[in-house]
Amino acid sequence: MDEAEQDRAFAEAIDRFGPALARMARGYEADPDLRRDLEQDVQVALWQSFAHFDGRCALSTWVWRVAHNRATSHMLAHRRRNAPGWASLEDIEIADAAPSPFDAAESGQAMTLILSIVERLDPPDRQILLLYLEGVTGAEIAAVTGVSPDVAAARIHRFKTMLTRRFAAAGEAP
Amino acid sequence: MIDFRNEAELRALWRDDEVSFTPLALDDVKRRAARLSNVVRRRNRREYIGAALVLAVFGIYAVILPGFLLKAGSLLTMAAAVIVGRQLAHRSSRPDPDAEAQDVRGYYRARLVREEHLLANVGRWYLAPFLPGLLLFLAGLAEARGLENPLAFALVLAFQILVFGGIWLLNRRAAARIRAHIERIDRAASFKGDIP
Repeated sequence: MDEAEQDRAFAEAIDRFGPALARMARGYEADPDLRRDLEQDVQVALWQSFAHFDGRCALSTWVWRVAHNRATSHMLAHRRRNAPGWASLEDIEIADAAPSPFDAAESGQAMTLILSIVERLDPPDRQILLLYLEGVTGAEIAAVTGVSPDVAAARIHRFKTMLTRRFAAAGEAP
Repeated sequence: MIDFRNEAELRALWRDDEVSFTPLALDDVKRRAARLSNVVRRRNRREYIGAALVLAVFGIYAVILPGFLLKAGSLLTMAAAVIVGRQLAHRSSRPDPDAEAQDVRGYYRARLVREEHLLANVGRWYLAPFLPGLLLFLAGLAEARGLENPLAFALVLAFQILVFGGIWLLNRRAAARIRAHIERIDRAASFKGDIP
């Protein structure tokens, strides 16, 4: 791909996925300044990657792979600050009441709860859930993440169960 | 009230949340991409400067110090600095646009595996090259001073063993932690316990 095509592919990717990339960055970095750095790093990584884009997969699959891989590098680079809580989904208790109680499942609180679970996850589980929340199909989640659709479905099911039970538990709390 | 079992509702919640995206201008993207390769170049330059300092100091030792053992020890330490400098430049990780296009689990696992190898083999690629030079240098010191103060010599020796042993042990422990993490993500990749 020559540089003009690379620029065009990049512009199309940013046009189609820009806001989704910002939401993805929110799932990787809680600090607003570092999150902005991550968003910019992802854009640079995407532009660089399009020099090698040969259409072997869909544009969306390519964008998600590059973006999540760069975000994973960001996680690893900042792991001393972030790592203590990382775990895979099956290692997190479904009814774990941490980190905060809710009286009702209002949207702002719901988002806080979603992020509180996402930010505790290892990169592979985090990627599956962020892609799911973004509306990516099961088959494409499998293509992006490299796990089977069954495994991705199991993860998503557990995540939804966890959210539902945590809200229920918080609602019953005195 | 949000129903988390409702896929459409859950996704709408995620997508409707206010998050602003600031696209970079294309020129800015290209400038940052060039700066990134400069960062790698600068890091390599720092490693080479470190190696050059070791070469300079032990080069002077090789010329001015008396006796075969001290001279040979200095020359071997210089050779070790070159070997380790090259290994550092070769093994250290850097953004790879090609690798970043592979599936994310494979990318993450490959990063962990590379890091685990780097730490687990630190004795072989980092410590071992310095050992012959260090041992000859210490033997040269003992010979030059006729072991007039065995206690001081023993302390110098013990300190070196402590430093080398400490580096080896800490890196092996870090490698073991990463191995456990790799096993965990491998287990997670086949875990289907909650399929609805």
